[in-house]
Amino acid sequence: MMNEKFTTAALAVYFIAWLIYTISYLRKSEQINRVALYTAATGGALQVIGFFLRWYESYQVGAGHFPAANLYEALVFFAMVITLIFLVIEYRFRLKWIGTFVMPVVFLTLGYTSFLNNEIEPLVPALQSNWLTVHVITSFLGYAGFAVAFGAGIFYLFQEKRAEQSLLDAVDNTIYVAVGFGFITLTLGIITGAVWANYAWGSYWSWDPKETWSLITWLVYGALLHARFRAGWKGHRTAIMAIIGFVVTLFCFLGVNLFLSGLHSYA
Amino acid sequence: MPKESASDSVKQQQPGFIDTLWNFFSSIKLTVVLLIVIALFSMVGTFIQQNSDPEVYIRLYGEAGYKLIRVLQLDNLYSAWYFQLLLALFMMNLIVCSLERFPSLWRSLKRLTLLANPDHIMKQPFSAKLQLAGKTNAASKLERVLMQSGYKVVRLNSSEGVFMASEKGRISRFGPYITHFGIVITIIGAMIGGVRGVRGYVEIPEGQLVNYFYESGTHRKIALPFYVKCEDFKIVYYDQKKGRMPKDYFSKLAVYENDELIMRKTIEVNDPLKYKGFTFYQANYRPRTYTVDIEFQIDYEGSSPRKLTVTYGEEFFLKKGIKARVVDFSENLNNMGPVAILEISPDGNGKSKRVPVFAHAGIFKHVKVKGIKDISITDFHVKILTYATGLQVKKDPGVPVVLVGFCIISLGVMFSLGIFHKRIWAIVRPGGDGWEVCLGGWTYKNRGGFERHFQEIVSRLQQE
Repeated sequence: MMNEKFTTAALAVYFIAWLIYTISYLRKSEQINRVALYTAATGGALQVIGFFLRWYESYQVGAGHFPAANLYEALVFFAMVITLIFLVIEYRFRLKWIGTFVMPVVFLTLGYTSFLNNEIEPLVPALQSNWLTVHVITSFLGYAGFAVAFGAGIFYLFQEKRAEQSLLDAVDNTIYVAVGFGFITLTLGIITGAVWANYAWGSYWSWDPKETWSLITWLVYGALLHARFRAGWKGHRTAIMAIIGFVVTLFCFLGVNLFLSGLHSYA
Repeated sequence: MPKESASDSVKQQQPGFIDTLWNFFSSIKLTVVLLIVIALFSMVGTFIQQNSDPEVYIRLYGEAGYKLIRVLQLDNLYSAWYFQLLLALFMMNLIVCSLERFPSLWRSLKRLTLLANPDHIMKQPFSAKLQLAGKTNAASKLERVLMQSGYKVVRLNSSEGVFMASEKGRISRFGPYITHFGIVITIIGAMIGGVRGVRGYVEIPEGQLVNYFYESGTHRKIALPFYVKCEDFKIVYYDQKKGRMPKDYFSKLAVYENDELIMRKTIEVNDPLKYKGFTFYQANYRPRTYTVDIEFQIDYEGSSPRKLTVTYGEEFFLKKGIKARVVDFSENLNNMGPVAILEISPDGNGKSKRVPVFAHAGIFKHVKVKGIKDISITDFHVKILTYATGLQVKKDPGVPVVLVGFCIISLGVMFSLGIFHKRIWAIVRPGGDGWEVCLGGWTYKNRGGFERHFQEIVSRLQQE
């Protein structure tokens, strides 16, 4: 199907964007960084087209749904959302070089999907609800925000000894903004999930592994935010917490489906 | 009076008990530790199955392991006393911290104070000194620019110049407390549900009605104040060639009270029926009565093969004098396709043997039945006559409270992390050719974002 061609093309473009980011980082060149930004944006655009095509094509094969309903679709969507959020943050805060550490998350995620079954499958009855779209979008925006914070955290640790304070402050601020964005959207993701579960299954909270891990993720980032604003943690320690937080996020997103069973084991 | 002095002396003897407790609960370190510890305990609960049967734990962890799990209540961790205690400590911490911080925060944010000293303005994290030409008052220009970007402006005209203080996004500072309040409301809602709520399951065969359900966990029979009838159940499949994937399950339900029909609703997954505080969810189904028709191909010794369709349970003749009956079947055994167990009485003398028959020929060769070479299944058809629908039943008066809590949490988190509190002070004085403007900016969070914002304000001021 057409959608996969766009996604594959995006994967290649992301990889090129990563190479350009790396060169810009090594040579500390802002011009090259701008080229990398445009390249990553091209990849993002290809993915957005692929995403909407898949949505359209799912209706054509009689299995119409918001295309984030199995592992393949979820990971493709995840890669797209990370890219879009990262691009917005990079553009908005005039960041440089962080793409060197965010792009690998994107193309590794997307690369992994080529090993998965990418057929468009119809939705199981439990997922046939408009809540699916709202819940998936908010949750994934949360994951993606944390992914960007993770990239920024790695970048911070790499640069800590070398870069001037103003750059480090900018990266620290990026971690905060990305975590803040992720925290808002994850909160909405958990809450829409709970409201949906209450509506569809009769229980807004049942300590299902996915629910529990999303709560764990929420608590970890809650701890990060409290440490930052009430106990004055900055820089190094926040960067480390952003990295640990993303490991927890990844387990919530993927580990639960791979290692534990529960209500979210559709993929 | 002796009574009073006694209580005074108690107070004096232990001056710090309440204070110590208060200080303990108002510690931010406690918050971070509790958040992490609750997260860790929650993790444990996802790695050890919750509320399973003893056999499951014994199989996984052995007898000794199961005993340990029971003692530590790891099989029911989220209801265990220590987890509840952690949650209680967390609530105390959250409430005490909020009570301790909120009043002083409110006082400090209630009023927006002017800065009279230009040095104070220039000492703000972001500052600029501008020289603006022109006759029109730069103060009004600044006020307009600030108001256009959403600032609330306080202005004081004096002989020494115009003093201005402005801010926006103040609500963001209350965000954390709104969130905390929402969490408290949500937990109160959960507690109401825990005390007054009930949850269970009931199976209703098509055409029958029930006025009870079975509570989850205890399997206690709980009476409903009305009858629920399942008038019809059906499964709708996706229109696809390979496999038959269910698209949705429907139960046509009717509610009767005092022999009177109250309401009818066809529920489906994601669309339950609600009546008198009880909600009925489509959760499951079971075929109740059905017929199975199996088509066999029988290869005879000496004569040509023949196809024969038989119904599950009914006796038939494989061959003249050889009676047989399908006693068990599987539609698809281990992905090998259909299997039927035939009970064959080879000589009609009552001594029967049971033989599995598969979709592919060959197996039967090991069984000796006079005159028959082989049997295989060529078609398999299950026709379900009636179903029983499985309904999840719930009553939880805490839900509206929880939903309100959710809304408050969402707002609180959006306020505290999505909006940034910004303040800009200014003194505008006549000077040089036109006006001298001292501009100072301050923000609580997100300095990177504010830097650009501040520069934008400055350049807009210079442009106009």
